[in-house]
Amino acid sequence: MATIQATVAAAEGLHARPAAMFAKAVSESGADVQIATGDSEPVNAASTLSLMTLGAQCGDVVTLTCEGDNADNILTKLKEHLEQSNS
Amino acid sequence: MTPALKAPFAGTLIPLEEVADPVFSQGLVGPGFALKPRDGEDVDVFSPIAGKVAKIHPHAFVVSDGMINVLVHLGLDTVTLKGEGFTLFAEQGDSVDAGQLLIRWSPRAVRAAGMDTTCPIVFLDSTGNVETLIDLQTDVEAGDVVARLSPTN
Repeated sequence: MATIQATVAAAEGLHARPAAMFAKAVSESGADVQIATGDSEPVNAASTLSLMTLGAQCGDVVTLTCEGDNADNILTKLKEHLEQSNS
Repeated sequence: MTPALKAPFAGTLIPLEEVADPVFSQGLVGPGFALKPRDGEDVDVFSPIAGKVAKIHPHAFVVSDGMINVLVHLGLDTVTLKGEGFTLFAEQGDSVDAGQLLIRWSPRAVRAAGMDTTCPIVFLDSTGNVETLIDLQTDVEAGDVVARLSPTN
């Protein structure tokens, strides 16, 4: 299982629009990706609702995990997505 | 059959495509519609369905009944107001009835701050079609049954 940490750059945190855009990027990766904040249970990163409920704020570090052959590449791309301030 | 949505406040029903925010108008947050509130202060916002408050911010909330997740976003870019002018009457995790008061806000103050008061109302994590049960571009009262989600497949 691959794991990567990323810092949320969106000014409003993973709220409605950034959450929806990230969920879309995860869905398009085709992989089963989980996301967690420091003390939370991992949730499905392809779900806008789960991301909004997680409530990661701007500057929070989140942990992404993914299984599969291409997991490292997928997580690197998703990290880049989260770390763009206009994401 | 998923539950029908009640209008969370009075206003004019408009198509999601007319929302001046491309992420909402292109349906990227989810399918739905928008409601433009009447001008005023102390406008009460009621839950559109019975369910659990999955998330609540001063300017937005999600109510989920396990099948559908309804996001009501009060105005555009209103996150920048940091809650000023919004009063909350529920907390995350609360079970609420359709028509229960969740937030009180002031569309007038939002407009005075230079922001758009249009409120996208969308179904999160859904690819279904939204059927509006009242003609678009017409006025509705709070509690009117306005829309329903038709799953695709």
